[in-house]
Parts: sequence; C-alpha cells; structure tokens
Amino acid sequence: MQTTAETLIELRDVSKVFLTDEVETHALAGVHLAIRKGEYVAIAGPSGGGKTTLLSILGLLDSPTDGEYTLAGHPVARLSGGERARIRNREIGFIFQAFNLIGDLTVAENVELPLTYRGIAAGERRRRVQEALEKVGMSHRMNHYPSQLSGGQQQRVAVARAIAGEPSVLLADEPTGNLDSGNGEAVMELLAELHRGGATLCMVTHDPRYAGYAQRSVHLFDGRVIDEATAAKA
Amino acid sequence: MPSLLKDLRYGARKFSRNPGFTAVSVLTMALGIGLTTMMFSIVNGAILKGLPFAESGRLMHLERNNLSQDITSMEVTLHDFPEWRQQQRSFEDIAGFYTGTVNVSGTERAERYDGAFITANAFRILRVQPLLGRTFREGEDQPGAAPTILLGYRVWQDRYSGDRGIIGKTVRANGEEAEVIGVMPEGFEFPISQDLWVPLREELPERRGEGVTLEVFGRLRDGVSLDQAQVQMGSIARRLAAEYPESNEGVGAVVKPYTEEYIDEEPRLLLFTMLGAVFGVLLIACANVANLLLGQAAVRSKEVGIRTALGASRGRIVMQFLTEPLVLAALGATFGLGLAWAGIRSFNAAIESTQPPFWIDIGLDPPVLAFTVGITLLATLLSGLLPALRASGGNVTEVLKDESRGSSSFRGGRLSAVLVVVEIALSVGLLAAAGLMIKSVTNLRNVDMGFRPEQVFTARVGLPESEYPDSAAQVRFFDQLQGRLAASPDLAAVALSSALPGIGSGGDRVAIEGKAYADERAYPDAHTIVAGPGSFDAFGVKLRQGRDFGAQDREGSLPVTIVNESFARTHFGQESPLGRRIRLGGPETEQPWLTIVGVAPDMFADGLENEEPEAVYLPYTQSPQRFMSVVARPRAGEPGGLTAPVRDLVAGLDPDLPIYFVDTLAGRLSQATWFYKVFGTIFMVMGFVALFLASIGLYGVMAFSVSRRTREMGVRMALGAQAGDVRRLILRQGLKQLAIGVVLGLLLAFGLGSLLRIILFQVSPADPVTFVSIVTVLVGTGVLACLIPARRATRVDPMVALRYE
Repeated sequence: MQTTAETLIELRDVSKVFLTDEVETHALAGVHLAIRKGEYVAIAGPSGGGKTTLLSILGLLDSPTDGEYTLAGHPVARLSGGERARIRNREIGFIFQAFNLIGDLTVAENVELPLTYRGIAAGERRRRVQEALEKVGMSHRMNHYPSQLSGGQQQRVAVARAIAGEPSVLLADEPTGNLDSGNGEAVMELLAELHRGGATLCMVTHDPRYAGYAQRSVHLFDGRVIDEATAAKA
Repeated sequence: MPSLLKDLRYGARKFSRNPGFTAVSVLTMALGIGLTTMMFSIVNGAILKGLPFAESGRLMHLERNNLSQDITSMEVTLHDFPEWRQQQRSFEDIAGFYTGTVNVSGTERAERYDGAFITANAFRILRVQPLLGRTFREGEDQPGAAPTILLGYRVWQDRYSGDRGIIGKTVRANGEEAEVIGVMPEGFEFPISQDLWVPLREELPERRGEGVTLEVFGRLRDGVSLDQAQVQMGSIARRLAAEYPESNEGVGAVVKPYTEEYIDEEPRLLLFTMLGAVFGVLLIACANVANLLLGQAAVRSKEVGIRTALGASRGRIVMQFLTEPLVLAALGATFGLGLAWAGIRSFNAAIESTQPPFWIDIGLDPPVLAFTVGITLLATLLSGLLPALRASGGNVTEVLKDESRGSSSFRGGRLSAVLVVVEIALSVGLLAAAGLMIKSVTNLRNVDMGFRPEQVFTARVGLPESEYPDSAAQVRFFDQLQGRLAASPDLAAVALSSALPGIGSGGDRVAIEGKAYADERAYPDAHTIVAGPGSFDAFGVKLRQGRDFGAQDREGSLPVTIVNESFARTHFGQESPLGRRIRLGGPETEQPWLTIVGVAPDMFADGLENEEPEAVYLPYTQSPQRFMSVVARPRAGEPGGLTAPVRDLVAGLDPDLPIYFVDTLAGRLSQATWFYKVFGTIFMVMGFVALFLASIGLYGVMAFSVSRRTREMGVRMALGAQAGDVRRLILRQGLKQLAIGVVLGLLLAFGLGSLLRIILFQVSPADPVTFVSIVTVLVGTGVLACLIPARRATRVDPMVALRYE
C-alpha cells in the first residue's frame, strides 16, 4: 500500500476483536487502507463482513484492537474518549442510513448541533447552518421538525449537518438504505456534487450501483480486504 | 453558559411535550423536597439555631447531680449558688433563676403570667438590652430590696397597650407593689417562655440545702472550653462536698449547652431520626425520578449516539442529562417550598398552645432556603447522575446501527429494578413508622379514663407567698373556695386537686409501716396528689374501698391518706390496706405516718402513658398547697360556661387572684399529648407520601418494562402463550422486587421503630399487627401497580407486536 503526502486516512494492519461471553469474534483482521484527500471511496461487501466496524473505527466511534490509524498525519488509534470526541467533531462528518436526526430539535438546530459542541459563536453558527442547508436545498425547511419531512429530505438535512462543520472527511453508512430509488439517486447525486466540490468521502454500501459513484471500491469479506477496484467512472 | 441555556431550553421543550412525565416528576420532587425542607426547618428552629443572643453558643446550663443516688440532674441550692459564683473562673459570670407564677393586678383584672425570679446579672450575661427603661441593678436582687419588675413585650402590649409611660409606675405583682423598670424587646422570653421578670430576693435559709432551688446558667470566658469548665465546676463541687458532707456528699456539677437543658437527648434523637426518615422520602422521590429518567434515557439512547457521533464528549452528554433533572428538581423545589410553608404553618399552630421555648423559631429563613437549594442540587445528582452515566456509556456504534426505536440497545432494566427495591424498602420502613404512630394516636383517643374528660372543667389558682405566707392562710383560702364552689348553683360537682388525671404529678419516696429498707434507694416511689373532699365525685368515679376525705381531716387530727389500687395491690397484695400506715420521704423524713382510709381507682396519676402508676392522695387540710386546680362539672350546659362563675368566686375571695390554665380536662390532655399527635401526623404524612411514591415507581418501572417487551410478548403469544401466562410473567417480575424490598424494609422498620420508642403510646416498636398491616397494604398496592401493565401486556396483538420496530 502506497501513501503520499496527500493521504488523509491511513490504517495499518488494523484488527478488531469483540469478546462476547468469552467468544472472540474477529470483525476486522489486518486491514490496510489509505484514503487520499479529496478521494471518494466505497466500502462494499456482504452483511457481517466488517463494513460498519471499519466505518466506526474510521469515525473514531470505536478503537482498533490492534494496528495503527493515522488521520491527517496524527496517530489517533489510542486517544482518550474526550480527545476522540474533539477530533470527531472537527474532522469527521457522519451520514447514517437511518438519518439519525433528533426528533425534538428543528432542522436548523440539528444542523447546528456539531457546531455547538465546537464552541463556535452563535452568529457564525447561524451563517454556517444557513450555508449548509442551502447547499442541500433545505434552507426553506429550517424551522421544521424531522417528523415533518420526507425520508429524502431528512437525509439531505443529515448531509447538511455532516458538512456544516467543514470536516476533513465525510463518512456515510448506507446513506440510501432507508430511501426509495428516486430519493436514493438524489442523495447519491448530492454526495457526488460534494465530492466534486473537494470533499473526501468514504461510504459503506452493499449496493453495487451506488458503489459505482465512488472512485475506488474496497471489498471486505470476513473482516479482510479481499479486493480493491478503481471505478471506470472515476 | 450558552450551552447550559441551550440545554435548559431543550429540556423545557422536552418537558412541555411530555406533560404527564413532567407532572409526575415535579410532583414527586415537590413532595420529597417539600417534606425534607419542612423537617429541616423544624430541626433548625428547635436545635441548630440556638438562642438569639450574641455568641449564644457560649451560654451554658449548670446543674448538679448525685450519681451515687442515680440522680443525673438536680437544680442548684441557694447555698451552693453563691459559692459556685464566687469560686468559678471558667465563666464571665453565672446567674440563677427559678420560674413561677406572677399574678399581676392593680389597674385592671388580675392576670396570671409565667415569670422568672432571676438574679440581676442575668441580662448582662445574656448581652440583651431592654426596649425601654433598664434591667435590674446589682443589689435589687437582695432580700429586702424594693420590689421591681421587668415587663415582657407581649404583656406591655396586651395589658398596658404599649404605654411608653409605664416605666416608673407601680403594679401589684404577687400581692406586692413593684416598680416597672423596663420593657424587654419583642421575642425575648428567657429562660423558656416567660412574660415578665422579677429579681430573685430569696432569704438564705438557715439549713443548707433548704429553700427554693435555682436553674443556673453562665457565659464561658473566651478561650475556655466546655470540658475545661466542666473540670473546674467538678472540682468546686468536690470541695463543697468535702466542706459540707451533710448536704453535698456525692454531689457533682454538670455543664452543658443551655438549649440542651430544654431539648435533651431524646427529643434531639427523635428530630434527627425524623430528618433521616424524611431523607428516606427524598430518596424515594429521587429513585422515582431516576427511574423515569432511565426510561427516558433508554428511549433517547439513539439521540445520545448521534450527539456522540457529532463530537459531544461524555462529560458534555452527562451535563446535558443533568440539566433536565435540575429543571425538574428546581420546579419541584418551588412547589415543595409551598408545601413546606403550609406544613410549617400547621406545625407552628399545633405547638403554639404548648408554649415552646422562646428561641424555637421555625420558618423558611435563609439557612433553610440554603438547605433547600442544597437538597435540590443533591436531588438533581441523585436522580440524574445514574441515568446520565448510563445514557452516555452505551455502545454508540450499536445504537446508531440499531434499527429499532432506540430502546433495545439500552440495558437499564436491572438498575431500575434495584431502584424500585430500594424504594419499596424505604417505604416499608416509613410506613411502619407511620403505622406505629397511627396506632399510638388511636390508642390515645381510646384511653378509657373511667369518666368523660370533655365534661370536666379545670382552672388553676396560685396563692402568692407574700399574701399567703403560712399553711393556715393557704388552708383557709382553699376551705373558703371549696365552700363557695360547692354552694354555686352552676356547679354539679366540684373539687380541688394539686394535679389532674392524665397530666402527671410529682412523687416521693414511701415507707410502708412494718417493712425495712436497706437504704434510700430501696424505698418505693409513689405519685403524690393533694386533694380536697369530693374530688373523686367531681370526676365521676367511686372509691373502691373506705372513705373520701372529709371535714374531720384537719391539721392536728389523725393524718390520713387514700391510696390508689395499684399502690394497694403492689404493697398489700390481697389484704385490705385500710388502717395500714405509710410515710412519705426517705430514711431521714420527719413526715408523720399516714393512715390509709380509702382506696381509689387508678386515675392516670403519671400521665396517660402509664395506666397503673402507684399513687397516694393527701388532704390539702393536712398538706397545705399554694397551687391547686379547680375541678368541676356543670349542672347544665358546656363546661366552658363555668369560667365566669369560677373566676368571680375566686375574685370574690381575693380580687388580686386570677384563674389560669382554664380549659376542659380533655383540652388539657390534648395539650399534654401534642407530642404524639404532631409528630404522629408528620410520620403519617411521610408514610403515605412514601407509599404513593413507591407505588408510582413500581408502576412506572413495570409499565416501562412491558413497553420494552412488547415484541417479546408478541412472540410468546404467537407461540401459544395465554393471557394468564403473560400476566403471570409480568407479575412474577414485579412480585420478586416487592418481596426483596419488603424483607429489606422490615429490617429498616425494626430499627426505625426502636428509635421512635419515645413517641409511641402503648405500642411495641415491633408491633406485629402494624407490621403485618403495612406489608399487606404495600404488597396490595404493589400488586395493583404491576397488574395494570400486566393486563396491558395481555392485550398485545401478536401481529402488531412482531411488526413493532
């Protein structure tokens, strides 16, 4: 695996073992992965292959049992919970399959949330929220609650929340999994547009159609990278 | 701060969307915080605050003891006091007083007040200034000094309409013309609840140890500790014992904080026990809210996951989750303060007639409000910390991946169950206490006195020593009064008695003729009551044997006595005591032998608590008294109608003599037993609040558990489970918690019961009937709290449940 000065994410020999009732489950085993700045990578593979575990480690929601993880040149595999939260807030934007908007917050408040944790001043927060919602075409719904939106609209808001903090990388976990094909296509177009604008994207998907949007696909099976392919489109 | 405001706003929005949850949580907190605040204000007002004087913590009470005779507390004799004062170096000075009746007459109707006969230096030691005029000067407290008097604020207002010109005028006090030298400020009622003060002008009796005895207090010098003062006073007492062995052998000195003399160890223990118990209620309330929040946290685990994924640290999540119970606790505290205010008002009203010590000032003052703020924060932590830690400690990846509505990833069930067990255990303890108190109050109401106390009129008459200096004058007055009362057309039956049934009376050592006693401690004790002829008739009871006192029982005639049944049974067994002789006093008594002429029924001579006290009655003609109670039954109408005729009859004999303590005997008994009723009521409130909260808690946990297990219920029913099976499953879960809680609670109840011994009336601290009853009530309520969710579980449609996300 080659790394360059532009490498944003680098995993070296990362493994993850879950211990449940004294039974070891190897979710990831010896994974090497590098993602360059501005790259769009899809992680594909069957259920149980380790996609979500890999995304959790990339998103600093979990730590590897073994191996090294470097994000923007800094080792991040063995950080404290607080330090991980700080980096997550600044460097990573999440987009989930189930949107994961907070039902009691308005659209604007949901998008504002990561900025609040960063201690950004209120005026600046408002500006960034407005900008992010405009990017995804949802600024006209900023005072609505998630329950008042369609699934596709909710996912657009979730994308706005992910990009509002201007993170280094966007991690998307089956972003179209809960959407019909029309809305799914629209969200994929939105992500592609963000990529074209310079965003680094890493998306977990099991749908080959959507994996095709990425420049590169990494196939996981039983916790190991079994194949890497560069998309023709990319 | 902006984050806090944001969290507060978010919390408020959540609560407004969930009014049921909010109302239950706020009510729960209000009950817990309100009761705890009320109880703390009582403890603060009665114990912690102390006397309202400068550096009052240095004011000490001094007394004597004689441990060789098992006497732990004795007042100081007129002979010992000046020697103590002269020899001691631990105190700036010491002062003495005794309290008693001061009849004030002159310009208006005679009125009786609680007064203090006090040394002149007392006010200097207390560091208190008069509102008007001056306090006593040295020398005004010497025998033969011109009589002076200091008025209390209330007397000045009520009797003299706040006349500032009263200073320098004379009033009649206990039959003497006394100059009013000052008025004390409002609220000053030292030493206990005194209305006015006269100088102590006692002649020193010839024989050491005779005469009135004094309560003594002093202010510790700077740098002297209580222990050091105790050591010095002890050595002075030993010196006096060596010098005057006849009167002082074995006599020691005791120094203790002033307020401890009037609220001693047992009431203190009771009050702190009650404060502890009320904290139990607060704990139940917090456990309840914690359980409700745990339920919320379970539902919100996905929200926490999202916030974590977006960069919120665990500390930040915990802070947010603590903000919500803070809002609930603050709202609860606001309503709780209202409850506490109402409770304190009722408590103050209930104790008003008991004339509590003047320094007892129970209210919502700054220390109490600070305490409320403290327990509000404590309640926030107690109720919010566990849910916050639990909510923030979940597996984020799992939660975010979870397709369900966020509850299945949360494992708070066991914690909730533990909290409910704690609630039930605390409730059993508090309910047991409440049950014991209910039984005490019921027992009090059901005491059969053998007559109807509500039909008996009572009033007290006190003869001033200056006007009635000798026995003959005292007997003459009461003879005349007895005659006039008997002749009154308003009175059906009348008597004079030194003590009233159920209120308690003094006692003395007794010797039975023909029996030998090894030493003073071997002499039996008996209550002594001085009465006039016809007193048993006035109460409507019949003598069991012999005769009543009569005209033949005079000074110089055969000294006689009537004993009660318990006395007769204890000392004479089956034999008739009539004609046998007894003598009052210990081995060195000079009292005459008294011939028993009658046996009376037991009439609660030791108060209501003791049904069978040994008591002896003496005729006032042979044992003259300065203070007697008039006991009468009306010929027609209510006993209250006798106030005017009895007052007029007394005034007809001596216009300077007021009557006081005017009430029915039932009223006097009610005053004497306020302790049981007031504290019993508080415990009852605590018990019922605990039951209410524990029931809500159990219901909440069971209902939440059922809602979490909807899919499981659907699967079970799809697999063929009947409604009864599902109901049993839910009930079994609830009953297990109930059983563990009840067993732990019973252990707590036994401990609490023994601490409450002093306020239990004819009830064992481990009364089985009470314990079985409260367990039945709690289990019944608990089963009901489980049954509703259990029934709901049986209504689950398997198809719907299996589709349930």
